[in-house]
Amino acid sequence: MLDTLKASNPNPHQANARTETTPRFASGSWTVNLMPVLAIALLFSLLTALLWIVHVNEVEQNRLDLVRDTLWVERALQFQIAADGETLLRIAGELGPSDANSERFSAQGRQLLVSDPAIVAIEWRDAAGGAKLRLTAPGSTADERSGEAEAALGVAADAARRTGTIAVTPVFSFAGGMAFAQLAPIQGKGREGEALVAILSLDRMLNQNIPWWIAEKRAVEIGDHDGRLLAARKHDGVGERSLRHTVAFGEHPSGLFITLAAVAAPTDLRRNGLVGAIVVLGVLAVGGLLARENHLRKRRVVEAELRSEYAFRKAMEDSLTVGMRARDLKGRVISVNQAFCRMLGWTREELVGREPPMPYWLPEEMARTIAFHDKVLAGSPPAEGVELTFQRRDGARVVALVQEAPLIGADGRQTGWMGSFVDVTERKAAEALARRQADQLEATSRLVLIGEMASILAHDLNQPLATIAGYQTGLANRVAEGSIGKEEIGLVLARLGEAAQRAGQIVHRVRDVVKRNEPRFERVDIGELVKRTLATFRGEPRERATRIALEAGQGVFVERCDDVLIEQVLINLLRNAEEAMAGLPRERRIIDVSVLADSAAVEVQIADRGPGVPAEMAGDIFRPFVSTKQGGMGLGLTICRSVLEAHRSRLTCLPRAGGGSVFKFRLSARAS
Amino acid sequence: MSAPSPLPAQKAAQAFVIDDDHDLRDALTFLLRSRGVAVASFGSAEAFLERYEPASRGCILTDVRMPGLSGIELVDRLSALNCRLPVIVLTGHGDVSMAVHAFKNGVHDFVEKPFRPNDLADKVIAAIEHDRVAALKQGDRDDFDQRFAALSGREKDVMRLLLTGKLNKVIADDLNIAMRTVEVHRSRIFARLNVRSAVELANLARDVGWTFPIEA
Repeated sequence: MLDTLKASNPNPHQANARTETTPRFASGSWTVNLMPVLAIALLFSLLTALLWIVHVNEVEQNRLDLVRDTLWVERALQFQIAADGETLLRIAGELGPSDANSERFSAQGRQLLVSDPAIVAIEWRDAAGGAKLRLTAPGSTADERSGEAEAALGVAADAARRTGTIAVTPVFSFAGGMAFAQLAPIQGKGREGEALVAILSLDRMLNQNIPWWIAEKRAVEIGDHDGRLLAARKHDGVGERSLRHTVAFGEHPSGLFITLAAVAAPTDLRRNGLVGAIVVLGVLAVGGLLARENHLRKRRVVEAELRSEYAFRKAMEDSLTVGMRARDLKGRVISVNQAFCRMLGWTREELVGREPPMPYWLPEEMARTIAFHDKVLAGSPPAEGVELTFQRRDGARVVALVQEAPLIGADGRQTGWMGSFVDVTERKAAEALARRQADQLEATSRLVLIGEMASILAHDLNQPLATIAGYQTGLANRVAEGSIGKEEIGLVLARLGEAAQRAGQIVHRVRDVVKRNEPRFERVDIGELVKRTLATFRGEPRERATRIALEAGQGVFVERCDDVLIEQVLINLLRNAEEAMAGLPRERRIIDVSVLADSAAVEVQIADRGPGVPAEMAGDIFRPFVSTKQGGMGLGLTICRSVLEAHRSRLTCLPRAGGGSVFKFRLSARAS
Repeated sequence: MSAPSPLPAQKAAQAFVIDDDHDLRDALTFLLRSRGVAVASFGSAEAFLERYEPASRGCILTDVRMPGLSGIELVDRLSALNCRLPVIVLTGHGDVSMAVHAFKNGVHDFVEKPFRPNDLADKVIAAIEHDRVAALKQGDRDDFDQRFAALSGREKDVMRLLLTGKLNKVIADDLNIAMRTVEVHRSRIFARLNVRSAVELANLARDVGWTFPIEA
């Protein structure tokens, strides 16, 4: 779990900085959230206004176009009517002379019919109102005239004759539609009252005389002032609500109005498309904004969770008493936690980025430390960890249990190694203290036991000794007095013998007790035994690190050896050596142990650089209750000597060249 | 080694040797007898108490460590019985608190094993002598008490004033009697207590440890 913690957050400093700036970020968030909404709303209303303005302009333009078209249509139709009238007058003029005949009328009339399709019929009207000659436009069938038409024609004929120019009738029904007529007086001899009449159909006028580019986009209607629809050219695109413009339709015929209605502009589709696009854009923008806001909120939630998670992890990491140190695959330090810094006295800044050898590696332990380091980088850290001694910045020693695990990055690949450092210095010291106390207790209890035994022995021996003394003195008294006979002397001597025997039995009993712990001899590899003993001795935690240099051959066997007792001898001698050098500087505290074998025997030497044995004590050190150490019982070397004597060997002590003592003993290789 | 002089014969006085160790008891008996001391030996403190009489004279020599009653417990018992026999305790290893306790209860002496046999015998002889003197003193005292009790009231008054060293004339004034009467009383007192002068009377009273009884 710690691995992933480290991997997910390789730089706690950055994350920390982020945490601090967060409140400012949160307080400004409403402007951040509102700005895009405001911008979009503004853009949207501006676009709408623009569209509105365009629309209004367009409507205005359409109206102007419509007015212009209306005026143009009215003018064009009036022009055509006027032109017709001119032509009619000219033809009538040609018909005036007497030689004028029907051929001329027909020729001129047909030409007129062609020139203006609105004219449905041309008549040569006589004074009585009948038709002398008549031409009808193709497709025009009706020639019967209503009374209303005849009346109008009559009135117009009179007016034309009187004025001598064109007269125009009001509108009348004609052949299912509405029409009006222009009359031109024919003036000549014998022609009084005659007129040339052209009947113009309003429907045809609208259908034939309005150009396509108007008709395409306009419906045209002609009505009178009563609002009656007289003629119309319809258009499918015109409805009730279409824009309309009406103007008075000139003076001939009078009282008419022409109306143009605009066809709805086809630009509507484009504009609607545009509006639709804008609406879609707006919706998309708002939707996007909402989605973004939603995303941001979720993100903030996640961030808050991450922050609290990070704070939790950080608190957890800081509360750890286990030092954590992450390294990359080359051994460079990536990260360390507080406990690690506290443990070794170096700051995070000093450690991060450093490459081995690290400043806290202990010079004496360098070889071991480097070996462990290389083993880890090679990819095979010992699973149970390793106890290494480090040097704090202030020089104090720290014993730590180091365990390494691969550091796996977010992508699942190994990015380095994560090491945990458990400070076991105090535990070791406590163990050492406990062991020392146990040793002392054991020594004390041994003393008590010895005292008790001595007490029992003293009492038991006192009895026969007092008996003997009593008889002896009594006998002496009597002999001096001369008051004792041989018989009585014999009795007393017998009692003396019994008491002496009793004392002897007590001594035997004690020896029996001692005999129970006799050595058990086996074939033992002395080299192995020494190595094992040194491992045990090194394993004992001690305040003073003492180095032990071993020089031993392999497979050095001794046939007759009690390994437990010899181990005791070695431990005793090693302890003595260590204690002898307690006052020396650390680098000089070296115990040299050697195991030298020849064909007959093995010699074990344990040499120290202590002060050596004082010359006046040299002969006494193996005697019981003699010690050079303060508080020493003076039994250690005595026991060693006894053990070695049981092995038919001898413990010797020699001064060492260059200072110190050498204790050595030889064990016979053969069972003898 | 020259043999010490034997103790003057005294019928009742003897050493009571108490020890559970049969051999040592016999050896001690043999040793003390070789010095002329009469010995009665016992295997336990209980056995001795069975045979004990208040009139017994001499001394007790006992071991400390014994099954049943220990030597110290025996001393306590004897003290309760108002026995004045001096006790010598034999011990294997000196124990200060035990020794203090023992001395407080009237133990006469302490001997630590191993001991020099004749030194022990000397101590036993000394203890018997001590007991003898004490017993003599006790006898004189009893005699003195009896004689004193036989005096009349006026004679006791005169004797008290005599022992304070006053002259006959002063005694007559104090008691408001005639000087002649004082002299008569005086000669009666001297006759009864078997002395010849006031000085002799005072010395006797001092020797037997007698003091004038306080009148109730």
